[in-house]
Amino acid sequence: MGLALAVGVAGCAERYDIARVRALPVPADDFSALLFAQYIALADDEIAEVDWRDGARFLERAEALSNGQAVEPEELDNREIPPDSVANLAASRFRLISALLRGGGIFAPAEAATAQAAFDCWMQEQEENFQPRDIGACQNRYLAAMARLEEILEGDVIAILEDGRAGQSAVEVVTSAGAVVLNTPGAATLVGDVTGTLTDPRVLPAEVMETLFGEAIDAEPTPPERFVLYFEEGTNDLTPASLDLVPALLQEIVGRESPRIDIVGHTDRVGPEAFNATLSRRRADVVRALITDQLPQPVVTIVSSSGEQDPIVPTADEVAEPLNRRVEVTVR
Amino acid sequence: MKQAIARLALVAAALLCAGKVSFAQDLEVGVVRNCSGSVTIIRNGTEVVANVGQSIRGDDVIETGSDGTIGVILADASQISLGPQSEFHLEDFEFEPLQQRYSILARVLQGTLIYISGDIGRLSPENVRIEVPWGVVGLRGTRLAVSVEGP
Repeated sequence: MGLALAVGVAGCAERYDIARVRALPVPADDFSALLFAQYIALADDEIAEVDWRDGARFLERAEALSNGQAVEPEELDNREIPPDSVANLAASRFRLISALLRGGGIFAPAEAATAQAAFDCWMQEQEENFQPRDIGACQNRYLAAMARLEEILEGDVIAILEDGRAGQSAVEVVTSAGAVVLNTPGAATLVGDVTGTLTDPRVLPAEVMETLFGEAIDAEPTPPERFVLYFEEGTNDLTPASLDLVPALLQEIVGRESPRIDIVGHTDRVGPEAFNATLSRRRADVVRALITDQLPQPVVTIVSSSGEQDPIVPTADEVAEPLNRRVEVTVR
Repeated sequence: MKQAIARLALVAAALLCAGKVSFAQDLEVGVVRNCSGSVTIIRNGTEVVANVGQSIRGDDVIETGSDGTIGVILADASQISLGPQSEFHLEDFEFEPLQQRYSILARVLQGTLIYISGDIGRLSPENVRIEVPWGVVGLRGTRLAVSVEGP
């Protein structure tokens, strides 16, 4: 396979034209930009040693990065690695990919790019297997960058996720070393171990989110469901429209295992406060009875009332407001 | 020997997380909605096996094993979920709308947490605080993810 590729490369002068690749657009993100430069430097070294094949291979990698493609550490199958080196290289590649999946390229772009370029260099030298000093140099560069990369990733990651809700969302992270505000979905900061240093907000790719948080995301509970039932003025009689909502409410309750049902009564501001305190409690009790009477087995209800204190629509005293005459039921 | 057997029984029970318990307590501030694998709640120094429908109280510590995950909904309708190998301490929880007393203070000692804010986050966002080993996270109306490497 190596021979076929070498012949292919030799037939195409453009593939090892360093000046052309160097002039390509630098990739947008820090990790890719640094890796792009390091692949070109590796190509430079190989072409200086008249190793056209490997020079071209590093240039191909640089060009792919410039085109916005993701370039992984080289796969072991791509090269003819001496059998006694396979296990170590495979474990080293796995270690590097694990760190990249935990956000290495985002939070420590320089260390991650150096670790990947040094790994690919080590692969290339190991395949040649006749320059022990070069093999050792690449391997040591990989090990040093890897150690530093993993040390950085020991920090805590705080991220803000898409929550599908309207309104402004924000997370503020404060440490002894400063503060960072996250306000776009996917944005994250890394809090340095002990030091409390914070990275600027960086958007994590989906695969990094999945590696870090996938299992916790899968464990998210079914969200609570909230129903608002309205009443006729001054009474504990549900409006016809709200009565129609009751079957859906019961359905929600029976669909959950051991649910909790919060029932909170409210009134508008017509009438004395004390009267409304009593009325809001009566409304809540009516809804509780409505629920418990129709369910085959007991459920846990938590009943409270707010009188006229917690309106949906704020009004002056003695103003009738149908939207405030309500019971809010949360099924959770 | 007896002690060893008792401990073994506890470990075995901890692995059976999907069982069903249903009871409410005055002290309840949340309820376990789902869990899988090994999940333990530590309350007043005593370990309790987590089950669907079980109460969560203020000051509870929740620990998940290497295969454990759990989802909880608190009384203000905020949601918590933990990934494997996590340790979470609900240090303080207060939700008393009539007295306008609101507080969530929680600490992630290790592992991963997703937190979706609820009524306290809407009514009094300054009283929502999630602590991590080297900092404090405050939030307003959002879905938060935290990953802590742990000691």
